[in-house]
Amino acid sequence: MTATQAATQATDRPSPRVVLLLFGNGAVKRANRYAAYACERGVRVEAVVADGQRWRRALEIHPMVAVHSLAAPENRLPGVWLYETLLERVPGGVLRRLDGRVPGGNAAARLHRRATTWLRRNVFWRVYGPVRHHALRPLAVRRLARLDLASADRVVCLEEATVPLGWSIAKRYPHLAVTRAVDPQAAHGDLPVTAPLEPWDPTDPDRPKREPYRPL
Amino acid sequence: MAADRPRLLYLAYYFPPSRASGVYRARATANYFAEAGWDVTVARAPDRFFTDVVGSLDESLVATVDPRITTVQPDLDFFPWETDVRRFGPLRGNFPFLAKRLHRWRQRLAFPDAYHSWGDAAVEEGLRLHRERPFDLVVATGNPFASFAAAYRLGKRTGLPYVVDYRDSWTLDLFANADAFGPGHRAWGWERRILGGAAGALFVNEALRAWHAERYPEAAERMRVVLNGWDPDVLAEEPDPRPRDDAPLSYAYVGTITKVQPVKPLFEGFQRMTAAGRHPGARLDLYGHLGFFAGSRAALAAEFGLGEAEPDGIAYRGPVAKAEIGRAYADSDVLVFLAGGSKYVTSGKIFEYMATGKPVVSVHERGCAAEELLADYPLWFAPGSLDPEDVARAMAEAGDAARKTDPETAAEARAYAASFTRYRALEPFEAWCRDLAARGGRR
Repeated sequence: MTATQAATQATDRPSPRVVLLLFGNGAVKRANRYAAYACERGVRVEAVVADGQRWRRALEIHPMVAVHSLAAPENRLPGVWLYETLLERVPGGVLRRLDGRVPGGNAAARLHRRATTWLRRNVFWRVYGPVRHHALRPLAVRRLARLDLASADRVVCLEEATVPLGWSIAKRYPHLAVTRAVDPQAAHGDLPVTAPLEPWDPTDPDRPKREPYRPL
Repeated sequence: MAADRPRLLYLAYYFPPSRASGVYRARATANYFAEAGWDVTVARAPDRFFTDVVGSLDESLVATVDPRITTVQPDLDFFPWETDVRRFGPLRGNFPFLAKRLHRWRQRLAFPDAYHSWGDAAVEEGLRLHRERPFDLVVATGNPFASFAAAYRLGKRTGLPYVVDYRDSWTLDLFANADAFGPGHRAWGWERRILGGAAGALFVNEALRAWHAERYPEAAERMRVVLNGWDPDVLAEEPDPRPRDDAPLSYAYVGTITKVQPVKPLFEGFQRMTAAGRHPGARLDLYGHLGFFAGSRAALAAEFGLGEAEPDGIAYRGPVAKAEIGRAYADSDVLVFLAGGSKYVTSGKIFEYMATGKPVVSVHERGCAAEELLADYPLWFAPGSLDPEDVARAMAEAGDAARKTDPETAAEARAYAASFTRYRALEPFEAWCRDLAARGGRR
């Protein structure tokens, strides 16, 4: 069953709605654990992810979770866009075209790839990493209306970096429980299991396909 | 000292309505002192800690606290446990990493315990109450050991004598039999200072006292053992020690189940016993909470298979209110003493078990401190090891004893246990405290 089907089915009866916030791929396992427990109990789970940067090796999020992505707005941030365009995309594209046409083109492309990897790790993330959560907060806040948080019951900040966004949400939606408590049992343990789920392994290559993340 | 009613400030973080395992010693101490004529004030954790953080409380326990006891709740900084983002405040809400770093930095300067803010507040509250009407003695029970630091600082600032009660061990890891902190950790310096200034230090068994006496010889002569004990109000109803002839036996464990206990050897031993045809139809009932914190329940249930499909013959009956524990004992024929840890672990539960007069079968590592007490209990059965075969044999023998036990043996067992009530254990301690208070702080 896809997240959309689950959401459609859920409209037939009122069920709690939870929005998970995660900016880093390290919180994906936590999100999946939460979703597996809560969805079995009829809870509608959605997630806001910042999968534009450092998400290449991330595990997939549980298919029962409707995922809203901040990738496009994050990648359009002026600093991020300029860095990627000027240091990675344009030189990389030029060098790829030169490869095989001019002597040493292949070596230059390889050197560029190495240089960009080093710069990513030692310059880009050193500068951008500490402020990333502050840069993402206004992007998400501007799009909150699309999340329809008025009809949500709970927002879970799955990692420390999402706390500023959670704080802004708490200010705007006084009825919402905004929490760092990531244990689904404490929140939904009183609900009976209404739709047992098959075990789902995000590393299984034959796992059922999930619907793509929707842009927020 | 006041002419007729000495005043005691008792720093007991875990106190009713908490249901933590250490609460019963604290409750008995406060009640005993109040009954002995002391004016007792207990400083305990704020209610919010029990409801929101550990999620474990038993309101029925509050009614068992002597009404003459005054209770205060010094503040606690909830920073490490706060999960409600709305309560974070602007600094943490907007700059969570910076707030965390500042908190860690403050921790480095403070007493090395997550509860140090409660200790600070307890000192302020204690000083305020002392100014209103002076105390004669401060007794602190740990954990948390911030209460020891609070007693030490109260002693420094007022000259009051203080006693620290090691209900639990601080610098000794009871389960690994090793130092709990690395060399140079600030806890060692604090413990030395606290014990150096204390009028007395209490331990729950001789092994623990000896370990501390060896570490701190300068304070050794002021160290004493005050055993745990059983609470007569819990076992008001005397359980019938004999099972009905036709009914299958009921083995029971009553107490909190944690991951340090040998639960799996117990299950395997029990299943081997029934599979071998000894005591057919016997069941193993587990009464109590899974873990000390609400959050640990699911993990322990999954680890021990106590979810929806339990192992054959084994039933997890859930927590039992203190008032109902007598009923759980009455419904059982053999009691299983399941304990984790080492020669330093006594487990307060063993006193209650002995008080029932029923066969007790031990499932723990050999050398546990409780063995000294059980050695003279006439209905004790101990397997040679935690090998499931040995456990099965001991459980079967305990089952045989339950079938055969005559009223005289049961009465003999109960008579032995009668000397281990909490109040019996506290009698000499109270007399010692009265003497300390009379001397006004001089050792």
